[in-house]
Amino acid sequence: MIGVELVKLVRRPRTWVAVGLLCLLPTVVAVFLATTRISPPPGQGAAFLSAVLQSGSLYPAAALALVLPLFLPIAVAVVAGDAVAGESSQGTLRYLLVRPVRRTSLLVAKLVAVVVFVVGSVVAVAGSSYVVGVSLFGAGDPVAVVRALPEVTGSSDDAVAGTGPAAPAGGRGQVGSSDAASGGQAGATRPGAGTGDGTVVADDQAARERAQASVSSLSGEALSPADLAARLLGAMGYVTVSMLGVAAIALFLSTVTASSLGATLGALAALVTSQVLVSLDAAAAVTPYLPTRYWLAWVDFFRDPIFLRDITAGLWLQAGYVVVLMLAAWANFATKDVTS
Amino acid sequence: MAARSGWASGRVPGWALWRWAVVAAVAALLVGVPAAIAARPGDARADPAQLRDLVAASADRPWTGYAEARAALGLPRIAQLADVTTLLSGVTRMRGWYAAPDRSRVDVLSAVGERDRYTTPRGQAVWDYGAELLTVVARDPQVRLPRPEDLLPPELARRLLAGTTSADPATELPSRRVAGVDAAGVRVTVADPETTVGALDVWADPATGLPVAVEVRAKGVAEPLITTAFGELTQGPPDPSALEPRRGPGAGVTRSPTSDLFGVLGRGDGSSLPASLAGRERVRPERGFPALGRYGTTLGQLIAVPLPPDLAATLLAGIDRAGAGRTLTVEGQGSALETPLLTLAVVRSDDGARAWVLAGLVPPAAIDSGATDLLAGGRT
Repeated sequence: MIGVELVKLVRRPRTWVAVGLLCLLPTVVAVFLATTRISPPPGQGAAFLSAVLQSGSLYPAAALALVLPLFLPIAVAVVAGDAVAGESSQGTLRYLLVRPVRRTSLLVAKLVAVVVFVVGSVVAVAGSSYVVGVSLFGAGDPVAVVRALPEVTGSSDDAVAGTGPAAPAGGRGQVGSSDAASGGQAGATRPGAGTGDGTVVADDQAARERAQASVSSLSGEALSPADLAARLLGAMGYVTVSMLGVAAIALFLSTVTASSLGATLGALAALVTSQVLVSLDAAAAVTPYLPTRYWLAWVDFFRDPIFLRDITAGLWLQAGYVVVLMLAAWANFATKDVTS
Repeated sequence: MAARSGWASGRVPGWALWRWAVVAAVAALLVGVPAAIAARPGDARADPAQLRDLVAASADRPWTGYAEARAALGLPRIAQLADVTTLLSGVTRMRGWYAAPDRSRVDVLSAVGERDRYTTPRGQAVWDYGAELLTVVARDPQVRLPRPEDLLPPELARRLLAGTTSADPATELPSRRVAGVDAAGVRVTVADPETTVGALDVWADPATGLPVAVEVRAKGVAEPLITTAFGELTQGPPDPSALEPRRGPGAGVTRSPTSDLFGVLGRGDGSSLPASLAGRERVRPERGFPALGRYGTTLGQLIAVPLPPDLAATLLAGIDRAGAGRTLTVEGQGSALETPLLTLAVVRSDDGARAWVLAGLVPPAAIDSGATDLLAGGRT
């Protein structure tokens, strides 16, 4: 059942259009930043946007900040809102249920497919923006960060580590080539990145030192590539979990209505309401229960020491939303009279 | 049969309601249990007078934690004093590491960065992520503009309690659980009519005296105007490595004699400050800051600082533009920003040559009288 849903997800052009659009926004922003070199004033604009001019390896964080408030939740609400209502409006739901498929397992399969979509979108945004960021803004040594990933995740996957030796010129030449036209001049003003051109990275140590010279945490601590990679992974994981609440709301509404548009817009309306109330001092009593309350806490991964209070609260909150709304979806869907 | 027809018309049959009951029960548990844990009353008791003394002597109690301060003074934004006006009219989120009065670090968190102030025995250092700059500060005066870390519960409690007198009655408040501490409460009601502060509510660990929550009330206002409390707290010495100032790679370093506007103004000429203001005697000025006038030692104290004419003009224009100032009826020119707690006024002589900023937790009459004294005093 889960396999069927995943295949359906992958085969739908809409999935890829959504992921593509999500990756497009950070790319457009990066191109503008790289060509004009005008960063937002300190303390304004999306998080990390003013820092990426110094090091592109922070760009995945900036990209997450760009898509998190609006684009990502919309994409998730569209996919999750369509999950059951889409089948219903196309008239395929009753045929699906005529087969010996338990409604509960159908619901679980739909949820898994949505989660896979969220994970895929976040990875795609972070991955594409890393490539874009490093090629447009340069980095101390991007390869060192990628190489550090297995260290962090504990896996010894040579496919990831293997990109290191394969890109001896610090990755700039390799990934930069695709964007050379737009980003070629960007690296010229970067002394750190400039030294990487044309020279072969002698060893991991040198690469690390160079990467260290370019990225700092919000508290001013120099971040080693392994540290940066770990924090980025943490932030990506947290953003993924943050989207599960939206997904659960949309999925529940999707079992209530036969219109996927209705379910999507309903979920978005819930988010807008939540955002309005979060910024309202008078609503302080309910703020800790609002789904968007801790969305921005992923930034806390980049503080020193990492500030876990809001992150932990956010994880519990999203888990609560998923449990309650999936139970509600189950209560509704399991007893629903399916007529279309 | 009736049930069947109900099912066919889309209504949920009675036997299916148990699923919804499960949903409601789980939702109620998830919302109720954390709320109940948070609201569970404490059972700490302490003698109010002793607790007050314990709090006043808690400066050497080390801690690590996170605190949120909410100030509702409703000051309009004045460009030149933006740091102060936003601090006193909003929520401030802070992380702190406190080892001793001269060894601490406070991070003021924002959604896009942070601003960290390190206090070391050699001076202070301020790391600003947005500006990518570490500023090493030689010395700030004792009389200075309010800063975020002043709103940390221990700092606020000690600073304000120091301005009360032993005649102000201390009464017991119901205990509270704050950041895992079963804290005893004391209310100090301020009797002095020369200050706007009505009462200080302080909750502190009865064992160590470390304040964990503070509420400041103004006279005649029901709701507290400043509330601050720890959200997370560990008592004991902080990690020493957190107290070392750090500078991001590629970030700049600059040295500054002071990080406060009063630190700059206070080095000027203090001859235009009279010996007393609104019936308050001037306290001997701090070494190196002759132009910082502090009048009185209680909560009703007035602060007066001479202003350069151009800065006075900008501030007066700023207050005017905010549209919230009260024009003072004095011989010169004066505008006051008034809140139920804090009043800040800019006073200027008619010829524009002499100007002062005048502030305090005082009622409007004290500001008026202080402004008159300033204008009269400088002339003689």
